[in-house]
Amino acid sequence: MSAPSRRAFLRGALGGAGGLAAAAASLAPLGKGAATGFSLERLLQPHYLRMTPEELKQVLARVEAEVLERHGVRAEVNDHKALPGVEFAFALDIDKCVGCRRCVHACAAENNASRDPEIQYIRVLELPEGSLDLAQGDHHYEHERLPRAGRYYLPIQCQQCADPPCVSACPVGATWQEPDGVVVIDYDWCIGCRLCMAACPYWARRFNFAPPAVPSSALNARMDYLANRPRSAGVVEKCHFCLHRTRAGLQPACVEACPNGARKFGDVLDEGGELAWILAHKRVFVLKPELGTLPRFYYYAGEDSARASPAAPGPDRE
Amino acid sequence: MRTAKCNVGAATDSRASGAALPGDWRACLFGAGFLGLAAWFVWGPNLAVIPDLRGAGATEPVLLGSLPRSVLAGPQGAKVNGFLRSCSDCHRLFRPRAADPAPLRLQHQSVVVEHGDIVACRACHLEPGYDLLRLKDGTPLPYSESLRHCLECHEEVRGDFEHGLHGRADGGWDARFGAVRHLGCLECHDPHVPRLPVMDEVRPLPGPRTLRMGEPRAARAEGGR
Repeated sequence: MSAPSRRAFLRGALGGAGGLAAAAASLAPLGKGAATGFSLERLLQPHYLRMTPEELKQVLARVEAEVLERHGVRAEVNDHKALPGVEFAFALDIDKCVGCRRCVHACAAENNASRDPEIQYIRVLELPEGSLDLAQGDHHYEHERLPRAGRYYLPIQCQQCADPPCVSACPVGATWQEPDGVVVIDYDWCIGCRLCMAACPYWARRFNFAPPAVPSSALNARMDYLANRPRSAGVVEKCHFCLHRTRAGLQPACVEACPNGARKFGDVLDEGGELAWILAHKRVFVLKPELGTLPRFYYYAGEDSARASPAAPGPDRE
Repeated sequence: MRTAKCNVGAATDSRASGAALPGDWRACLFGAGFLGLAAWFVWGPNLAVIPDLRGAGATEPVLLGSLPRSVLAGPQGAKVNGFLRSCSDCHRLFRPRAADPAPLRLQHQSVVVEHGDIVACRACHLEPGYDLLRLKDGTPLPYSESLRHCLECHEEVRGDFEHGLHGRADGGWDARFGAVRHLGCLECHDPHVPRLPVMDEVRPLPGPRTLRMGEPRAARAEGGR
């Protein structure tokens, strides 16, 4: 009678101790704070869209403290709201793009994207002239001189779709579309399931498989909560039209870096703006229009404004 | 008082009449030196080869990763013998020949013209002084207004340029956030060779080594895949 009961007691005691140890181990990261990217405050903070201004202020302060601890950099973490009456859009002249990848690297530097493993929001495809078959595209072209004859270059980043499949795919609402059309991610709410990556037809989203490594000396200290603040392992990130810059009036980093002026960014609702002129006068196309995602990233080619601009009334008109 | 040229020198030395000859020589040397200097001022620029102006007015790379702009963005003129000379400093003496382009034996040898079927200097530069540009009908135009000059032929660019599409701009994405500066024609194009050699011969930055885009070709070859 006594033997089985002792065995049962020991089994129960061992199991209990093991369970306690496991619970302690699972909670251990909480105590370590910012070093692991986990903290109790972060775990308990509300969704970005439900934060009160007071809570938001606390969260921004926490992120600043985390950056200071991780990188020793006194960062300024802002929360720029969407500008009223503005809908951002992007246009890219594939005739002018020479595939120099300056946008790619300017973007990574601006957005504190991980350098090792490398994460880049923009990918530039080298395609045979006349083809839009993206499967023929080459990411890894290395030439002494660009552009190569018979090839053209197609940079692809987040298309900021008006009907974004990634947002519908997210099971926890960690990604959503802002009033100015930018699809953003709350990196603290993302659970890393990568359903959004599977849903995106443009390969625009990137996953942090490892803790992102950004040299502290290269850290861009001007940050936004929904934009380029440091991410942790296990979350998804992507292009956000540099909203920390564009909502303050600046151009996105890729536009500034483009030496040829192939990239144009602006408010598509501004009737006198560049984007409106492009949409009215250029032969514009979007990628994969058949999917109905309604991208806000337009491609066009060529300088045919003489043909497209309203001609002066000639003798045979009137 | 031997020559009219040495009059001045002779007058200053007149009180030492006994040593008139050495004083006169000194005066003559001084006079010859003065004339030589004057001649050098007038003719000097023509004897020194005018430096290649390409890149003289090039602006700094504006931003991270952008390429340096190329040619002739600065004021017209060239530094010769330490003085800034305008075009007409030489060309009021040296009239262009009837044949245009004249064979360039000394000056402007660095100028190569590959601009459509334009070969003559006077097609764009206003004769005789060359300090100005000219429109097709001969209207003078300062170099600072080269845009008007370019658009006279390149009408196809006008719509794009006026709407800020042709070429890059510095500043914000909208004028309400501060001045937007659209680069002028000559900040990217060399008007003599407008085919953008700087940009066409650009080297690409390193390609991706990301998970999303697969491994670079070299790494793939090493792995035997």
